Amino acid sequence: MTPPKSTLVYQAIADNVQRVVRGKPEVVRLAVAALLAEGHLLLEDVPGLGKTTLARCLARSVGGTWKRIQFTPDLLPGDVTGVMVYHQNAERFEFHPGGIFANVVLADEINRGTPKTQSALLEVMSERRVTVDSVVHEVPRPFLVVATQNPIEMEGTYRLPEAQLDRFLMRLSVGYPDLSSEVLVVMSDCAQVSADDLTAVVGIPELEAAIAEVRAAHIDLAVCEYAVRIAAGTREHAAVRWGASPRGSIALVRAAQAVAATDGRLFVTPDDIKAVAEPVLAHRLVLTPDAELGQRQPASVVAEVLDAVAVPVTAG
Amino acid sequence: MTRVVAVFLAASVAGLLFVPVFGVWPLALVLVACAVPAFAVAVWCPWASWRAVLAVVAGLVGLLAAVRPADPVGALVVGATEAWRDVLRSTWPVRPDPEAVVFVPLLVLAASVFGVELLHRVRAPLVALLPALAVAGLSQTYAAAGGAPAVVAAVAFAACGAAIVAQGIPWAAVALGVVGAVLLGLVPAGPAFSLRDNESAPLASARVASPLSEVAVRLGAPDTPLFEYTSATPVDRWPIAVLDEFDGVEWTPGGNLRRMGAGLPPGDGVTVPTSTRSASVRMRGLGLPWLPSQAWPATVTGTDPLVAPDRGTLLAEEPVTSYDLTWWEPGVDGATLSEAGVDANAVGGLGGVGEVPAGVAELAEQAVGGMRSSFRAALVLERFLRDDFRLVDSGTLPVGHGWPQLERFLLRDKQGTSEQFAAAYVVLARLRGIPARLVVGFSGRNSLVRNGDVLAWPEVAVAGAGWVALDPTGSARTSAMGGLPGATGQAREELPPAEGLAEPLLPAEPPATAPGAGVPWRIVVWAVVAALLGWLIAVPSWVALRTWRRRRSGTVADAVAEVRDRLRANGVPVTSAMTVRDMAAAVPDPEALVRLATAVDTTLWSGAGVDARQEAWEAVRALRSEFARRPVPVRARAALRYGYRAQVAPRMPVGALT
Repeated sequence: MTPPKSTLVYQAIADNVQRVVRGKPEVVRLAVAALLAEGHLLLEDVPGLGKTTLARCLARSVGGTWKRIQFTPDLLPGDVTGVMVYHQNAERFEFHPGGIFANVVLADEINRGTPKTQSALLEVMSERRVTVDSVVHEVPRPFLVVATQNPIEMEGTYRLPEAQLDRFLMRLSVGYPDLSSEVLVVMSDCAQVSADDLTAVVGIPELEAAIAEVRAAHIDLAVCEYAVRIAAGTREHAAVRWGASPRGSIALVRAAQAVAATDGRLFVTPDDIKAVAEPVLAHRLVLTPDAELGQRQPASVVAEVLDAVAVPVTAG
Repeated sequence: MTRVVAVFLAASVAGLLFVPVFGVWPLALVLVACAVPAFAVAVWCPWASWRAVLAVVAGLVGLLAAVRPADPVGALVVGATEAWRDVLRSTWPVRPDPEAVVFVPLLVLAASVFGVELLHRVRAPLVALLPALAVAGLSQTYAAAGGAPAVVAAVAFAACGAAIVAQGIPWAAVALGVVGAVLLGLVPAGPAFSLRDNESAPLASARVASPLSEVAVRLGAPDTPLFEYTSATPVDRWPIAVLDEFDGVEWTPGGNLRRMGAGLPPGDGVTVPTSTRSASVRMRGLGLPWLPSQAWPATVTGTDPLVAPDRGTLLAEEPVTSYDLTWWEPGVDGATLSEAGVDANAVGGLGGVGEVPAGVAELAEQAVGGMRSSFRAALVLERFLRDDFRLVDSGTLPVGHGWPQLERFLLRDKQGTSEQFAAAYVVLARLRGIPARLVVGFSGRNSLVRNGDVLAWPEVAVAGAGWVALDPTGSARTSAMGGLPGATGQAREELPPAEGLAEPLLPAEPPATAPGAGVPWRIVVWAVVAALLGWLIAVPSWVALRTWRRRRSGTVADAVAEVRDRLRANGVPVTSAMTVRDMAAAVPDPEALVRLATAVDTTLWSGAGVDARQEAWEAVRALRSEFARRPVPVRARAALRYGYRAQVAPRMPVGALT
């Protein structure tokens, strides 16, 4: 049986990325799933684990335009969104687009940007357009932001506002590779195989078609209800002050649709929901002060909710 | 249909708990006759709104056809309103009269029909068993079904509950059965509480003259015929009243009166082999209410008397022309009797003696010579009165049996009628610790019994043989009589003279034990047996039934449920929050579960209308085959483990997700 187009797209991107990013197939799978769901991706981990590499590999694997914005404290919002520049020859103001105008935007070390700059980026992520001097400038579609941030050494950085973190569909941690994978990484580096060596394997039309196919993947009412019950469960948990919003429920289902496509299916199962629950929901939770003092992690809270919500079984 | 069968079965089991009241066959017959037609209507009636009414009508028709009462409506009315109390006032098993028997089938019919309606109308199916449980509870207020019958009944209830909740939560039915078995097993059969303890049949005539006071009067007109009897063998005596309560003035009968049921067993005090004897009695002039009887009556036909079961006394409230009496005769010989001890636990044997006048206690000690309480001591006391006192039967007869008369008889005149002899014997025996009672009746030397045959005599309670009549007047026949009177005569003749008397070889006094000692062990044993039996039967039965039902429906969801339960039984910690793939990750060989997961995904979630039921159940079979290769002890443990704890997902710290 011929696999869905979205599966082929996933396979092409994943294979390409894994030429450089070794030993993290599940992370790559979820990252590509975020692209197929046209959701923004936040990569969070300590330095040196390949966040930027993964982001660059993703960007280079997709055709169309891609840009990299290095967030620093002196980065201005206009650098992100673009500015109006006066041209004396033409005697008029002309819009100079910022780094955000690309199909794939790599926002590196986003927590080093000022809140004002971060806010500009987050607003575009949500609106998918930029308004300058009352003129609306649409960003190209598909539009994907892959951001990285370092959760340690927060001094001198600006933590992303929790209320806006849910603009990201998923938050992923790359994590340390195992021994054999790390050997391969080192060997690749010695052979000078880097993200820059990658070429685009999927064009924009194919990616758009894949995104549309994923969006149309079938989801049973019972599975949808299961996803909503999980999201609702985060609101009832004792360690959570603010749980996942309905936007979280939507993100959960959309991410599950993409994950199903990565598995060669155009329908969602409860396993898909469970697979994406932690990367989709954990960064949307605000824990209670007591829970934070007790070193509770949002990921463990999501795991508890998954263990408490019964899997749907319908007649059939 | 299975559930309806279970409801009817549970109600019938509850009805069968009335077996101690009615006996097995009379009760089983009417239950079947009533329940079968009602069940047929309950199952096949096409009009749901009329189902209950038609089932009741069908049950009543079947019931009336089985018992065939002369007045059907009257029988049903009496059965529904008065029988419950009449039954409590009768000896058990009750006479199988229609008015009495319909009481239980009516209850069972109501519980069955009500239970079926609950089954159809209430969401919790186990509620349908509540009416049957109510009937079972009512039966326990009549006769506690301790021991094996209780355990069997509880297991039957558990099976019915399991059948009813076959698609629900089985542990509820299992728990119901086990708890029921334990509770019922805890109740010892017999001496437990019964509503019957507080009920007795009232005597219509408010006041009855004491037959003891009539002895002298009857002796004054000795030729008046009273009754005649025919029997295959001679009858020594015909007791009519047992007077075992004495307050120093009056001798009165004790115990409760009941309607004579289908039959009486010999008393608890009779442990020797018994045989039955019978006689036909035709009344000639003996007034009401006393009827000639025996110590251990078995059956009475031809009339419906009241009976004092512990004393054998028969009383009639309406004129009786004739009746047939059967009674139990203890089989004991003279040698055994002369070595026997006394039964200190005999009912009424060691009653009061009132305020004893001075000198009587010393006389009692002198009469028995300090011997221990035994039948030989009773014979010595009998010989003492027979040798030293004189019986008068003509002229001016002494009357009275209170302490003034007995004091005069014992300490001064030393002559009297059998009235004084018997009364004096009983008080002297009781003073020496020999259980004794006073009986009034007639000698059976002639088949036509007249006033002149009137007699009062003492009886002593002999261990194993029950009540044995003695003759302190010396007017009784000898060992030629046969039976218990013959054995008594033989023991009397072999009694050594006073100088050669020796204590019989009686067993040592049993060590004092606290009341109820030993009962806790029996309770514990029954509880353990009930729990074990319930578990051994209920769990595999329920699992087999559940699998059969799921396989019959054959859905993919049922296949998932079956796999989930199989894994739990085999010790895999499965929760309701686990998908099939999660379960596959929890077992060493996940191949079958992966196949099942694929079938589940394509059937339940693809929305493409794929039917992979066959693949799903093939995966279930593969899993079962895999488990079947495990060692026998592991499989046995899995068969008996329901694993209900594992089916509940871990609770979240706060909030409940359903």
